[in-house]
Amino acid sequence: MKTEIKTISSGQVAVVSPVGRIDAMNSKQVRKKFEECLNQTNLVVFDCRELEFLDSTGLGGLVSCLHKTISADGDLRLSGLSPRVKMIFEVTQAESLFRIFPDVDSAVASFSPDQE
Amino acid sequence: MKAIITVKEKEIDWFRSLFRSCHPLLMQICKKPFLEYLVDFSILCGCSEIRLVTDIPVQRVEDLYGDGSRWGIQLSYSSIRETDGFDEVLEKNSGFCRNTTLLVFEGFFFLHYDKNLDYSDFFRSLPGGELKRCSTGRLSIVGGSPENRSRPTAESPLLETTPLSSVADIHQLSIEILTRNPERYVLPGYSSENQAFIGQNVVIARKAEINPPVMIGNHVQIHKDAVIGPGAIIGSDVIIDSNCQIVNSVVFDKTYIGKHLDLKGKVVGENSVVNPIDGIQLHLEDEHLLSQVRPASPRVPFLHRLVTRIHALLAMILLLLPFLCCVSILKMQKRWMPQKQSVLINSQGKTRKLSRPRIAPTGYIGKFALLLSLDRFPLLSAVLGGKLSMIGSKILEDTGENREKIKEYSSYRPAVFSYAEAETWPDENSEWEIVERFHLARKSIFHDQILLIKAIVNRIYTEDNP
Amino acid sequence: MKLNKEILKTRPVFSPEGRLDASNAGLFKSRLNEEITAEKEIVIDLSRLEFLDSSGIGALISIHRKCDKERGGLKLVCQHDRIRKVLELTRADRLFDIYDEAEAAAGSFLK
Repeated sequence: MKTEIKTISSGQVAVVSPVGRIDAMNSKQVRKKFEECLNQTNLVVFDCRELEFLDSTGLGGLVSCLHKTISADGDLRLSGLSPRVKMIFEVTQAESLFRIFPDVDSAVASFSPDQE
Repeated sequence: MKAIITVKEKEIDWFRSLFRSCHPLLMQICKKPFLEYLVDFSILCGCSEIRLVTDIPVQRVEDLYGDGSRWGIQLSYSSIRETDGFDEVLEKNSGFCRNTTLLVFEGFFFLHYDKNLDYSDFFRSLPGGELKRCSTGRLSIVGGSPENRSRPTAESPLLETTPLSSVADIHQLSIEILTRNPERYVLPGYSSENQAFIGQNVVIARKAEINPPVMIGNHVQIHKDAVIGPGAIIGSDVIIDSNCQIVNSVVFDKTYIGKHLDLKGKVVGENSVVNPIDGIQLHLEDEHLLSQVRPASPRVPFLHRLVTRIHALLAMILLLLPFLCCVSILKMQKRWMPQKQSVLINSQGKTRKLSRPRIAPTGYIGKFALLLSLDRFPLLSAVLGGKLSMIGSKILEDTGENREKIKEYSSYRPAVFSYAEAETWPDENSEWEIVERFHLARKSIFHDQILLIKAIVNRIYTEDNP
Repeated sequence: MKLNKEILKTRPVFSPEGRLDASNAGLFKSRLNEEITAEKEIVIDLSRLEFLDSSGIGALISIHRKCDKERGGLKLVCQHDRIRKVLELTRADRLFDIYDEAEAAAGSFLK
């Protein structure tokens, strides 16, 4: 799972790129990595291009990450969801919780003040 | 008049790859198995005998319908090869087809008809030939009365075909029939008001919402705050947990749908959600979200398991000393080749690492070790652990090809010795599978003991053991 | 086991009667192998069999192979009954051309 920090006009946006699956096995790991990002910025994008699958634990983890960013006055947005992962979000009603973008750039750009 | 229903594997393959445990001919459209629509229609036309001709296994169909006595007709079955065409189908069933007008359904398609109309006059007036065709099949008459050729045909009552080539077709047909014309077919479920077909033993929580048109099968639980319909077709043995929304969707039998799930325009069954629009299938292995209400897998009876374990224990005790001696000598002689393999231990695809060493069949000790089948000794611990039997199916390695194979092999029971070894059949072209299926169906402890002895004896006689 | 032979549409049709199992599969196989040296396109009619087991199926497969090798062919005749069920259960039915009448089976060689 990669992380990098992108800089935009209003500050920094962390881009986290999970790879493969997020499930009961590794969702703790993902959350830890995420918390590290939170130390640097409260604006996070999860680039899900290489995310294949989420189970209920994985989804729960993602939602808890969302709550953490919101309580830090920031936001967690998603990009690059595959049709399969999109269906998971749709079926579990999780898609109403997140702002979802087709690609990383538009997700990052959405944090600029002129877009908000 | 008689009817032939002929379907080939390549026509139903798309369905099988999506939904493994449902037989394609029993695929449900509005909760009614596909085959029953064709049977109903054949009876409507005046057929007294129907034959199902396929190149796919029909045991499940046969177990369910038997000889067709539930409909008061004679139902029979026959096999064809993948390459057989229309003519071969008729030829291979020439006894059935003799001296009668035949209604032939070829392919995998849905036939629209209306049970309230009369079809027998219409069919009597037809001369023979193709009646209706679509991209996945056709309906024809064979052997119609030749004098009908000159007579004008009676006006055709409703008769249309729709191809069945994807999930979208199942979805669309189901919703269409439910919402527009359910009265055309004999559909399961009692409907007290229009457009709400409810089965038996359906428990609906007081705070759940049911919006017609809707179809619910037997033994269904709907928990509180669930919203079912409009446009929901729920199969039998389904549990819908609280706060779910099921709209414009089809849910197959034996499915559990977890809390707070939102299914709009989907087809759900066997742990997966399929989107008819793009065909994307999502496997949800998470039991909190979606799972199959699985029937208990056929367990090997207790006595059988006991006898098996006793055998293994005895073998271990008897052979421990020879094993230890031979192995140390063989290792020194470099004739002992250890090998750990990941193998499949049941038809669901569970795997286990087993030690399957090879012994070079040379030298006195090597030959002696093979005589006692000491290369199979390490497998005995797996037998005691209940993962293997003493005699059963050949152990299949965990490869992609084998994984596909066992999906069709529900009676797979891996064992130290295989039935094929008891029979000295050549191990080529998967004919060992035929022997195995035969003996696995017998389930007799007594026969198994005899075959076990035969297998061991046969090994003694085939020196160059694999 | 009684083995009847008749000629239909110029092809030999063999009808074993009784049981075809481990006790006589070998004999059946050798008898038919003899016949194949003369005629390579044959029909075996299973309608009069009461019992068929895996050895019997093995014999049929081996005869089938031999006929193929000699550029001939084997066709089976079987009705909707217990014997057909055994062939279906073991998936052996996928290996053969199965007809429900001996005449049609014999006639199919003429195409």
